[in-house]
Amino acid sequence: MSNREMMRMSRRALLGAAAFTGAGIILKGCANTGNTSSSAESSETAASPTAGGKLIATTLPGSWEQFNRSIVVPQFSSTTGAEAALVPLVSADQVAKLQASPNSPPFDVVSLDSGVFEGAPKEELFQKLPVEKLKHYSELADRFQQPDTWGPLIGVQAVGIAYNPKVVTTPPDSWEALWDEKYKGRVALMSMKNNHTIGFMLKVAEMNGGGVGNLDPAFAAIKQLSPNLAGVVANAGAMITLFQQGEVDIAPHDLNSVKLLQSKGVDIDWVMPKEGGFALTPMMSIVKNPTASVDLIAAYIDAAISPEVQTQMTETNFVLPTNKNVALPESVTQKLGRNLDEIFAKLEFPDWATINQKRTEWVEEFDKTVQA
Amino acid sequence: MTAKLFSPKEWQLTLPLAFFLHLFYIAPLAVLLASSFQQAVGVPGFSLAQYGEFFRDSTNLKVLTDTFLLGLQVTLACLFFGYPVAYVYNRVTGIWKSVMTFLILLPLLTSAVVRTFGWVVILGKQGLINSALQGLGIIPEPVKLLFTHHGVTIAMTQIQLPLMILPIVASLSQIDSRLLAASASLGGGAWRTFWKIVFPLTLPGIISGCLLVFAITVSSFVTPSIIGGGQIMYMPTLIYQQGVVLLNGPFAAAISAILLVMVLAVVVGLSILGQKSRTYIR
Repeated sequence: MSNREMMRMSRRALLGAAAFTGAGIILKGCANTGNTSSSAESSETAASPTAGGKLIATTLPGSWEQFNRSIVVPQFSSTTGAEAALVPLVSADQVAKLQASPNSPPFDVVSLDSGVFEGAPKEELFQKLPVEKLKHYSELADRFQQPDTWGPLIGVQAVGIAYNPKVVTTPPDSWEALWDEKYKGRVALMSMKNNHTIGFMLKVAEMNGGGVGNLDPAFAAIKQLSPNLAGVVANAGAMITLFQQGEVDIAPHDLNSVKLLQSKGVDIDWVMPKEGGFALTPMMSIVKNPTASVDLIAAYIDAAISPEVQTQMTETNFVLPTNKNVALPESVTQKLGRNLDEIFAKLEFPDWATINQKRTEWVEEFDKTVQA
Repeated sequence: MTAKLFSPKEWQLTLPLAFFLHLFYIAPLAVLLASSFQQAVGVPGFSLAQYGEFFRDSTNLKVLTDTFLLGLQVTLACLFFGYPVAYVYNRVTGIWKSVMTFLILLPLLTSAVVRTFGWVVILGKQGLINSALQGLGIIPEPVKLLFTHHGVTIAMTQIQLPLMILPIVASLSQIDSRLLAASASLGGGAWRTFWKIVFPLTLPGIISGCLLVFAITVSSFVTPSIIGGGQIMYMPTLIYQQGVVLLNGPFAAAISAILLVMVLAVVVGLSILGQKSRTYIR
């Protein structure tokens, strides 16, 4: 009896499951037709870029995602009438996802750190930017314009020293402050797989007679840093938690992350050391074999480098503009310098092509050096 | 009852899953193993170079032993803390059983990332543990827990605990209560009954709990990388670093294969123990 009941139950369950699966397939079918129609639309947009359509873009997580969602996408939608879906991923994961399926890429346009981009197999995954399709490309600062480019730099993140002003009452003026014995157990670094730390190591090497060709002085200096080192964190997100919890007082970090924390009421401030800081530069690039039309993607990139969007980026996110027509707000000029030329002179732009050849070696050496 | 829709041989019922696993698990695994024998990225051919490189470097060997040690410590800690909970759970009735079910499952109900950041707050120098111990005057200075192996062990133990408790609960609930009565009537005390009757009968549950906890601990990524930081490395972090950050696929594949072999060795060892314990019960 109870067995029969079970039989009946399972038959009902089976029917239910079948109905569920069937509904799923039908829904998927609908979604597919939706897709084909939108891709038809987007191929029409080749003629007029205002006919709508849809593209999928990546974004770096955190404040970048917030910014892309609230500023870049609305700007793009209002000029093209198209929609953009955002996928938040860190740079390395974006490249990994593309590499996993280069023939049907999961997104149309990537937004990632140019250091990571330089290390990726560019020819296989991306395509050159059709510069002539971008209205605002010629407005980029001269140093950022190239005739034959994979994509424009979207902004410049300045990396200097982040510190807790409650504890570090006089702002540190040099990278050497991190080695000061006052800060025993109060310094944090990100692990070497983060470009923040690559740039920092480069800076330290240069201060000690090395450079991109010879990082040994920096590794020696990191050995000396170990009494001060509270920890080596996995990524920028974990670094933020440490500052929030008051676990560390001083660390290399970028201005935009520090400003975001400051706005949330965390005791943190940022200073450019006298040796100069360095720049991390997010960029955008069109993937190979995109689903959306190249015109639409170009319009998305164009929106990101438009003066309206770049002004917002500078004022609210404290990322320096690459568009030269953007007026710098006072909060930025006070901290960094009067104009872009003056600021960029103080920031080193790391030579990622060279760095990427050494990256594996450096990451391994760094891990060995900091092992507890 | 006899009117069956079709007369299945039992093994046929596993076909859909078998098909699924072959397509999405066995095939990728084969690709992974094949690529671990590459000389370098994109160079075909058979070579043990990647494995040689791994075992030549003492840093990598330390990562391997640290990972094994982490698995072992977390498994033992889960067993130590989990068994009493399972035992009590089996004794309580009514509303308390529901309450305990909820409490036991609680760690599984929050995402690993959220839990991990919670542990950062708890383990820090100004965190819950240190301020409590300092407030009680037990320690004069904060102990370093964050970014240490112990910190990772503590956090992982909490996260894995349900996976140890549930199998033990299952095997405890199968014990015939008349056995305990018989033991008592023959003069066995509470402890003696436990060690001679209850504990051996729950060995299958303990072993499957240990299997789950060990396998999941040594392969977990988020918690060890956030709590451990860059100064203590475990195999999954190393795989991510080589595979995703440094784009060194073959080496990452070789590390994955080594991790897999380690887990398989433990699984096989524990399964043999499990077989033995089952014959012991009968």
